[in-house]
Formats: sequence, C-alpha cells, structure tokens
Amino acid sequence: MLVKLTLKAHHAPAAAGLSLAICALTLLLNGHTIMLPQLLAGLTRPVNIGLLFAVGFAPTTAYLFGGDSLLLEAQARRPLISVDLALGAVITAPILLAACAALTTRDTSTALGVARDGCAFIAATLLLLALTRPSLAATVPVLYFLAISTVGLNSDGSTHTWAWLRAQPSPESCAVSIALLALAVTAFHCLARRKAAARRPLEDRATT
Amino acid sequence: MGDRSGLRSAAVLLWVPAVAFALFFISANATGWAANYPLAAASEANDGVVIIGPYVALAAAWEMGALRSLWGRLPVRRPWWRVLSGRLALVIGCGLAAMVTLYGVLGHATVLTDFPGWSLPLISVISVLCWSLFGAAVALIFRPLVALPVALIAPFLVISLPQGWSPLWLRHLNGYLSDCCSTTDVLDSRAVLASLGFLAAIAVCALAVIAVRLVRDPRSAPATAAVALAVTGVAVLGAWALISPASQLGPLPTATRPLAQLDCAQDVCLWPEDKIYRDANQTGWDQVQASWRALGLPLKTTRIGPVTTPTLLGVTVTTDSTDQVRASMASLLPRAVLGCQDDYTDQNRNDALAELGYLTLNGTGHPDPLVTPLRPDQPQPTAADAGRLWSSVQACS
Repeated sequence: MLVKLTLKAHHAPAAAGLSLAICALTLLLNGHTIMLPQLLAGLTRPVNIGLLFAVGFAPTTAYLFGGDSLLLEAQARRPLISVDLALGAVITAPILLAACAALTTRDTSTALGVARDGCAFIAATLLLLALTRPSLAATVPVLYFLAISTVGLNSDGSTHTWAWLRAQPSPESCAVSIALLALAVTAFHCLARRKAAARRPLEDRATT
Repeated sequence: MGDRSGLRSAAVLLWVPAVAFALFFISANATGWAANYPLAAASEANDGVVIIGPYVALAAAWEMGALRSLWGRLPVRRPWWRVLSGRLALVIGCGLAAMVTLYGVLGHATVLTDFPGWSLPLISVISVLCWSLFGAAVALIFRPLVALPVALIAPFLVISLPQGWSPLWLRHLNGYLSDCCSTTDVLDSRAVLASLGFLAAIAVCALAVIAVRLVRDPRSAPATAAVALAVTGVAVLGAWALISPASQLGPLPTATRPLAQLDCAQDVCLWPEDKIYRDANQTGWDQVQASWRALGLPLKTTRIGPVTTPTLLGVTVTTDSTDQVRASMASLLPRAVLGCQDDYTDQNRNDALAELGYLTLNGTGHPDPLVTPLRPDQPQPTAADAGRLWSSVQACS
C-alpha cells in the first residue's frame, strides 16, 4: 500500500511513460545521428541520436525521485528502501524492455547503447539529486552531454576517457554504467534518507 | 538595490567555465583560415555561440525561474519590461562580455585595428539577445526542472542540427556561419540577413511570450495577448522576407571578396593578408610563364591573382615554398586560361589539362616527381604534344 501510494505521489505513471517514450524513440530512430559538421561533432564523428534522447532521462529521473514527495519523505520514520527500489524499477524497466527488443533483432550494439546511456544518465541524476536540488540534478547531465558532443573526441577519432558515452557501446562500458547506477541508487538512498534523518527532532530519533 | 548579490547569479558563476569551454571548443576545431584575416578571426570567435548561446539561455532561465516562483505574490509597481530588463541585464552583459573576450583572444585584438565589418559582431550580439530572451521565455512557461534542460539544449540543437539538413541553405539561418572565410571570400549579405532575421524573430516571439506571462492586470491580459500575437506575426513575416533570399545560397555563406581590395605589384596581385607570399609567387610565376610561352601556348594576360577575371589569371598560391608555388601554378594555369577552375565534368578535358600542367612544370626545369597525371602504361608527353593538346581542349562556358 505504501509503495503504491508513494509511486503515485512520485508521478510514477508519467515518468514511466516518459522513459518508455525515450526508449521507443531511440529504437525507432536507431542508426540515425545528429549530422553535425566536423566542427560541432567533436572533431570527427557525428553524435548518435540515442545519446541525445538518453539525456531525457535526467529531467525524468529528477521528476520521479525529486519534487515535493522527496521533501515529505524527509519526515518518514520507516526505511524507504522498497520505495527507492520500486522507483528505480519504474524508470529502468523500459530500458530493459528496449534492450531486450533490440536483442531479439540481434542488434547487440543498440541494446548495449540503450542500456549504457540510459543507466549512466539516471545514475548521474540520482547522484546529483542526493547532493543538490532537483533542477540542478536535471541540468548538469545536459551540460555533460554538451561537453561530450562538442569536445568529447580526440583528433584521431578516439574518445576521451571522461566522454566514454560517445564511444562505441561495449559490454564493459555497459557494465560500468550499471555499476554506476547501483552506486547511485545506494548513494541516493543513504544520503537523501540521512538528510531526512538529520531533519528529524532528537526525541524522534531516540524513539525510532 | 537588488534582492541578492549579482555575484551569486548563474550568469556570473558560469561565466569563466563558459568562456573557457568556448575557447577550448574553438581551439580544438581550428578552421585553418588565415589568422591575420580579420573576418576569419571574427568568424572563429562567432563560432563560440555554440557554447555561449546555451550558456546565456541557461542563465536567463535561472533568473526568470526565480521570478516565476514569486510573480503575482509580490506587489510590483514597475512595468513588466523594466522587471525583465532588470533581471536580464546581468545575463546579457555577461553574454556580451563573453563574446567580446572570444573576439579579443581569438583575433589577438586585431578586431581593434582591422575591423572585420559589422556583420559578425552584429550576429554575435543578436545571438546573445535572442538566446537570453528564449531562456527567459522558456522559464516562464515551464517549471525549472524542464526549463533549465530545455534552455540548455534547445539553442545547441538549433545551432547544430541544421548543419546536416537539406536544403543546405538552412544552415545559414542560426547565426553560426561556419566555413568563413578564406582570404578570397567575404560573408554573403544574404546569409547575414537571414541569420539576423531568424534570430530576431526568435527574440521577438520570446518577448511576446514573456509579455503575456508577466502581465499583472487580468483586465489587460487579452489586449496584451492580442498585441503579442500581432507582433509575433509581423516578426515572422519580416524574418521570412529576410530569409527567403538566402534560399539561393549553397553550403557556404560566402561571396567573392571585392577585387578592389587586391594589392598588386608587378604581375602579382594578392589580398593584403597574403602579401608575405608575394616573392614566392613572383618567382614561381616568372618560371611557369616562361615555360608556358616556350610551349607556344597563348596567354591572354600576364597578371595573376587569387581569382580569374578578364584581366587576371587565378593561379596565385598562399605558400612561401617556391616548389609548391611552381607545381600549383603549373596545374592551375591551363584551367585559368580556359576558365575551367570549377568545371571537372569532361574527363577528356581533365586529362588534357593535367598533361598540359605536367608539361609546363617540366619546362620550368624543376619537375616534381610526385606530380604526374599519367597512368603507368601511358607514354610520356613531349613539348610537341602541347600544341595538339591545346587545340583539342575547349574552353569552359
């Protein structure tokens, strides 16, 4: 019951719809690129359009996890791990679906790309959400996208380490993204809830 | 007195990172045009709008987001446009300061001594105004969670996406006039007007949205909305009038530089920025011209320059290596004499002109072993072949 109410309060249906739309667009326009000229393409290569769509996960994640509900949950007196996991499932389930859909057509690269980019942007937003306000958490990943789009490549066409999302998708980079996501969920759960605990009156903390 | 310190605004906090990012972006993608050509330096600086545009839009959205949350809850006696200008003054000031910094750093302050003309500085100013107003309008429509990412990414996409669209002239609308300029070129006024029209239309539309959102008196809201709609319509029509001539342009926003700016001495005419190559061009031309005449081929004029006209042969080269000048001139000369610089459609003519160039270079006494138009199974041409080759090729129309 708590999870159901919390999901509703966190706009879970809308966020799931947005996540699904992002994944569907990525699959629909798979193979397309933002046909930037050399100057804008980060020296040598155009930007995969899936990366642009994946940026949409930043405001979606901030919308799902942040907002008024997060402030209200600061007063919660019971563990919210089930809520956080449920919210995580809401936003990552479409990614999993899209990756599976791509795998059914033996398109491993797209499956890895969808999973890697989506998980990375969700992870970045969650980490920021644990540290700062939702509007910033939604904006900084967009800044990162601009940075990797414009100056993410070396002159020989290879990718800077920090711009690994512009590289060709690989199982390793996908695994890094998923690990980051796990780390981000943990960080969000610990930091956001610790903040909540810090706001509780002392007598409450003594009794709980 | 303001409601808070300007030093804590996004425009100020992000100014140094934005300028550094823009400089890094531009320097990592050097265009290779002559650094001493003011228009090329200004164009390089103007390329910074790729970064500065999103920066000012984000900063303006940040400012107006704060206003959005308070608007209607506080008694405000000032008209909306004064509130707006008060909020955006710092953002626009920071954006303009960023562009001035880019012009100063990339142009090595040459813009002060060799002014590149008003076109590019005007486009830079209008870009800053346009994207600031756009960011403000977005922040008044959406919540910060949506407004900030949209303000950041929309200018970037508007500036970058048309570069890959067809028809190709669409890329000249957004103030990002890339591929400008070699010393032979200047900006085409149609591209400049199209950019100014498009950006101004965005600015006016954003202003209309802001006016509608900031109107306080509910009784005047319909009138404000009607005026805003009318102004938007006029702006769009005006922009279309400015944009439509640009549909005749190709992928480049450039036009040929006025020949009056050529600096001529003896037989060689060069643009002022290329004067350092005069000696190499004169030496190379003396040898190539002598070789050409020795082959018994006609010359309609002995003056050379960067473009072909009835009184000039477009064979000058911007390098100080005499070897390269000779090789380039020898290959360019047959085409310049026949007016075929841009016509490569006839393969037989291409072969004949390449052979003539080869013979000419041979005649200078400095044949370049790397310059050979011949297939391995083809016999070496002789000087006697020159007349036959010349009579076989037709001038380009």
